[in-house]
Amino acid sequence: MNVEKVMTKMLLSCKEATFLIEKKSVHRLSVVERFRLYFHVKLCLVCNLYQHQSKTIEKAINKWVNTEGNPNDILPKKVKDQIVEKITEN
Amino acid sequence: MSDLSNTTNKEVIKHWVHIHGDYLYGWAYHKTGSRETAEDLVQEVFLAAVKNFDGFKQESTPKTWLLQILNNKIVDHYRKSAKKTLPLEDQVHQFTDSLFNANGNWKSNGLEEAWSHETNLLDDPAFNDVMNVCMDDLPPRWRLAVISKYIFDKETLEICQELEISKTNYWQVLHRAKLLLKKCLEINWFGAN
Repeated sequence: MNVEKVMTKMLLSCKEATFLIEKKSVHRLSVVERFRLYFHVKLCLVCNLYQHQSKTIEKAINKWVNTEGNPNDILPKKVKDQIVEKITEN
Repeated sequence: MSDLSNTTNKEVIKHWVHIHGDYLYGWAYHKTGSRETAEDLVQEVFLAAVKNFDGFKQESTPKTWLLQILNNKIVDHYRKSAKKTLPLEDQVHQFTDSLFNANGNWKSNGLEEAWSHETNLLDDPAFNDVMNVCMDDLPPRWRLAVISKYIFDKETLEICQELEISKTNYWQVLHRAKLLLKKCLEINWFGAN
């Protein structure tokens, strides 16, 4: 058996490992899950890097959700007038 | 509510259309990527404000209150489109699966290191533009999960009820959304630069 197969069997595949990395951000992992993830990340450079990338993406999402619109985006006057009219009718 | 106070409330809200309309529109456009949708949502916000004026507490500012209504409308909007786009989700699911080989391990793409060379990535406006594109590319249900988590800081249970999915399903959605964002950023930022 080659190294990749042994690792996958004992210590998760990369797909499972990255799943646990994401799960960890919202839920406590079990002892076994933590153990397997810990060793997987120790041995797998790409998943190790993924942990950091995941945090970077997390920050980027946080920035995205809190980004205000571009000040050049103006609600067209026509639409404003229409809204005002609807408020009057309502 | 008397007719008189009703009329006064309406005048107040009409005034808000003029001072907060652009801000809300910009916010809605950034989150939905569609001018038409943003216009509709902003209109709904003000009409909802007329109806629920009693719910406006003086301790919050009009802008905060309106933004809160808008964010709820944005989530409703995603919820509606989420129901229509399940086939798309299957396709994207295959795409995120294709990042891994048959054993479930990474297929190398040569960009793994590129991420760590970047410092102050988030201060770069060009990067944030790319991020905007990538958020738009998420299937609606995945985006809904991401937005519920990050805009509203909602708890897992509440999001699961909203999306009508199990906890495990929700973790999978977060996982796939992350993988898709990673791939999109690599193609449009790290690979392009």
